[in-house]
Amino acid sequence: MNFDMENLKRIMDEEKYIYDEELVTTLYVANLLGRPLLVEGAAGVGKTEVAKALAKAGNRELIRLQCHEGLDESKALYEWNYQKQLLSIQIRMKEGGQDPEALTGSLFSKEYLLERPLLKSIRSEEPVVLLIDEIDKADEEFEALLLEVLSEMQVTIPELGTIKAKSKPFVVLTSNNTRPLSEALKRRCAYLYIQYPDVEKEVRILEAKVPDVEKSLAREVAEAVKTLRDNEDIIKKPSVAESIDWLGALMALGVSRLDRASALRTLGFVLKNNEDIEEVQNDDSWLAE
Amino acid sequence: MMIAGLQNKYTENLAVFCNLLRLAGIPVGIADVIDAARLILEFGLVDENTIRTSFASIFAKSQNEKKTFNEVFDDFFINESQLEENVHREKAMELENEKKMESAREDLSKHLEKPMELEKNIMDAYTGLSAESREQVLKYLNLATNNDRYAPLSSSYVQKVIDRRITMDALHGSESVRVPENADDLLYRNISEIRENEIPRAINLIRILVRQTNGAITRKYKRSGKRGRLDFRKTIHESLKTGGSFYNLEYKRRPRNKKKIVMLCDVSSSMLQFSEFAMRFVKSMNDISGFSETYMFSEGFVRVRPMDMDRMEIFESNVRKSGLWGKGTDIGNALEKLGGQKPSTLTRNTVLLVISDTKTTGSAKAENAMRKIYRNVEEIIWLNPIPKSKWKHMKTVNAFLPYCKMLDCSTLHNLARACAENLFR
Repeated sequence: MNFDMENLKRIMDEEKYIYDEELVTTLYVANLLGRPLLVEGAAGVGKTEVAKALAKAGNRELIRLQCHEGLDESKALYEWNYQKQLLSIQIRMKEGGQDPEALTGSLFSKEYLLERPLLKSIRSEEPVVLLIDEIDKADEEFEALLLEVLSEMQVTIPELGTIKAKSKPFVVLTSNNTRPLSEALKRRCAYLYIQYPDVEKEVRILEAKVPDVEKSLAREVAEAVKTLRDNEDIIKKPSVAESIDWLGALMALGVSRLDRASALRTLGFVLKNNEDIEEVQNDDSWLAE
Repeated sequence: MMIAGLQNKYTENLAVFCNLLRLAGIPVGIADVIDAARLILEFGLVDENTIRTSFASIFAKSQNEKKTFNEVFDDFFINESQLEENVHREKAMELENEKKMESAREDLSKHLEKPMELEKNIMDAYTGLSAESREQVLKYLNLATNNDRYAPLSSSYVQKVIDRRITMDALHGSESVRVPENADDLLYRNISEIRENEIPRAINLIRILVRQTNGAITRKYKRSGKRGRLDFRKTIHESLKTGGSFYNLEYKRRPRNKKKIVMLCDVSSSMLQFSEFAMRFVKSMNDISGFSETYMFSEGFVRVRPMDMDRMEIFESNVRKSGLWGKGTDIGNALEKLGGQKPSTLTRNTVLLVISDTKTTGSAKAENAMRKIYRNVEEIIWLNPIPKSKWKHMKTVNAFLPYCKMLDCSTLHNLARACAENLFR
């Protein structure tokens, strides 16, 4: 991907992605060294957005693979199109074909191959950005499958042989750190940890993402969210997405100042756990009257 | 290793830096070194922040590693002003030590009736003593130096007294568990967040903590202000060291009353890791302190054979074999079965140690069973892996609290402190 740091910053500004120097330097380094980028951090800090911004910056297609338990190569890599294969056999038989070899000979060719995100990303003529989202939710066996793709940029399909990458995708892996990833996978990646933003950065994010917001209200929300995140008794800490939602809800109600009454009315937008809401309701002394 | 385009001195420095990272526990491969060299060629060495961030992205693969990386980086890429600052700091420390030694020398010369030459390490130890301990040492030195016959023995004896006092001060200080020098955030991290690849490090940490804590509990006899009868055999034996003089009189000591510890350990799926850590602690400490029995439970209830307790490395496979693996939790059932055993396991001299997060089916049944057992044992101690701040939200915790002493063991540090302060004192 051809971009320099200034270009990357400019496009991230255009995309309203609020960044810091560490993020930009790490993206640049990963691109320069051709390493996949592993982004870790709590849920909702903007890990996925990094890949989206990067795709925009490089003017590339974004191919996304959402990981989950039980994800296997048929969903991630490739699958044979069985329906098409059956139909093809029936058509050939109707045309008078009887020889089994002739009937099945071409069934395992690229024509019948259903490309899934991993294969699609390396067979693309133009280089793409491949987002492997929430890799920690996939099984450990899936990581082994990824290793061949990430290190060799090739895929081995028994019926077809090894398919080498036509172009090299920029790979972004995200993880919420719910389980440790294998050392082998981590070793191949450049690493970036995204923290919760500080108040100043969060105000900038809120101003960028919520149009026509009053600066004072954005600051009050950012400070309140910071207090909630620092409260050890809050089990599910509010993410940036939730603070954006909270601000949106407050604005929809015509609130111009975050006071105790308006905060308690809209708590469900920032806290997603009944015990957390009760905790704030029991001790709301930190909220202004 | 030569890297094209990079001057030799940079290559050498980079190799040294990578070795330092390896020594600090960060795995650095050849590919990483080559990539780091490419980064130097790309960015140069002018902007420290850019080099730090770009190196961190290829060398550090977790937040812990990043912390270590930053420490190594700061030590290695030190600038001139920092270097001067370090030299000043070291000089100031030397000066302070010298002052302390001087003050100790003055203190000794003022209070000692006869001047006495003490070795440097003894003086070092003396400066670290509390005022009360210094007074005891001076008292002894005055006694000893007034009797020439024992002069050769004094020096080594003083050293032992001082060393022992420092150790005792440390053990009975505000923190009963000292943090090992190489301990990291693992000690203070929630046990449920310790990852599988960190378990060996956590177990090693447990060993260090147990070794430290054991220092305080290895006495087989309790200390008492009141002395027992004179022990003639020991006194005569000891007198051989001082040429037959009865320099120290030895008294018979009264043995401790050994408590019987019964451990009831929750091995349901959510508790397995915590239970393994807690059992390692209790087992290691119990090796030297008394008799115990151990039971595991989830929905069922099983007694653990002593030989299985000796092989904690196969703890998980033992749990699998027991049929308790992957099941829910029924504390009430376990307590009822434990309380109903014939002959009775629980006596007034028993400390029942429960290792569980209190989450259970049938909380009313469990509360009833707790109440019954509470009347039959000396004490119930509950090691809970859930942080204390969350207890107020948990009905089961509130139900069990009146009958037991519940301890927050959410981190290895808390667990070690709970065991040291409550189980074997």
